[in-house]
Amino acid sequence: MNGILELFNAFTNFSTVLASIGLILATTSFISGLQMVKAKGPLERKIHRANGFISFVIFLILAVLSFATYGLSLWSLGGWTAGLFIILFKLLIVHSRSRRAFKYVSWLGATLICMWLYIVYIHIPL
Amino acid sequence: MDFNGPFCYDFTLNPLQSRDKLVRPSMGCEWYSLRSLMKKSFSILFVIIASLAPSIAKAATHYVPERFKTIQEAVNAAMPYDTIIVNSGVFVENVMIEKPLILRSNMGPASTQIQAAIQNKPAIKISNAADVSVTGLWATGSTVAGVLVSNSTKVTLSNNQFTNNGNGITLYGTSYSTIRGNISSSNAQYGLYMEKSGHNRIELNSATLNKDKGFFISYSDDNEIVNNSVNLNSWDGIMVFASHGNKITGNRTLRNTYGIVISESDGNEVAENTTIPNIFLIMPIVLIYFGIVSYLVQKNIFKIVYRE
Repeated sequence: MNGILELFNAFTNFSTVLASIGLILATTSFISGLQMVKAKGPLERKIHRANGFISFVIFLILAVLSFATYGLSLWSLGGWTAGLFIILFKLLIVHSRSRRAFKYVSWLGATLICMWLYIVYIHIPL
Repeated sequence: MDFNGPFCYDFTLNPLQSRDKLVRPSMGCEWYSLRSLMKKSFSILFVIIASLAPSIAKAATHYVPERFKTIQEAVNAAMPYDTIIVNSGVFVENVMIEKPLILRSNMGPASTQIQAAIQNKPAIKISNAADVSVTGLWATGSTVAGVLVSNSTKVTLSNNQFTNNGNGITLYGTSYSTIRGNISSSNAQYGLYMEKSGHNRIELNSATLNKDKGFFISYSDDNEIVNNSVNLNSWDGIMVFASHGNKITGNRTLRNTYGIVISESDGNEVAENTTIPNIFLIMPIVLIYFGIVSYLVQKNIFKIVYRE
């Protein structure tokens, strides 16, 4: 019961809400991406792209909010840049259409989910 | 008067009937009228009041910056047990307290700042003193400590803020003191550093974003560290080293590199502290579940939209 109350309390923070939406959309995008690889359905592709794009925008907003709130430190700059690098790398592989590279794209998707889990973790208010 | 026998009092207010100093040796007692009794009582009362007068006069209140330009001037002028009330402003000085005093702000720490004039000295130093209370101040800019309490007893630090110092709070050789409701954050080393101190109560403080440890308890015994929030520090939340018989309960130590570290210490009571709250587990699970649900919902919506 205590945990549930804490959960509701967490959503009073704007950046927590934003990070949570990001993780939800990233999960949706990840599942649709897996489905797309399996079935190549046009719907999955639309869902994958739309959710992926919105979660990318949310990622950028959170990065800007973080720099505005805590300033530019080496660690935070490094962290957000690493996140951006993973996203861009995944996009690069998908657009390259190389079969060998395509084999590992689901791993990159899973890495993105882990990244979003970490983003949520650092945005839970204490 | 060399009469050593019992006194006998005649309780009459009429001066004509009074029998002042009527000696009745046969009865073995000396007679006093009410008037002489009252005289005697008043003289005793006067002696008592006269002896108490200095202690009553002690409890004066001094205002900074109205009466004294700096806090140190007020401290120097104050008698033991005086109260110094500091009004809003930034005071660039190092305050040294060596006598029993109450130092408090009028408007709270947000608007009452002590900025260390000499950076390698603490912003506030309480040394070899007892019964000192510091409340509602913001101490900053010292490479040593926001407040350094050394070899003192019964010191109370409450509702203060210590930011951007070497250590936020340093207690050295201090006992029977209370550190309550302070915020100690963004310091270069520790939020609170305690060495060779005992029987202190550290409660409801917040130590966050310090570059080393939140609390560092070293060679200190029998302290109570309860209900503090020690989060987001670069290294340990609470570090207890070579200290015994301390009670560490009800603290929250979140998102530090290590939550609570106890080393070379015995007999400490560590209970009901939170290092991973339920929300850290519940929230990601709930969000991933929502992600899956969101996929199913979106798929159905897209089906309906693109069928049309």
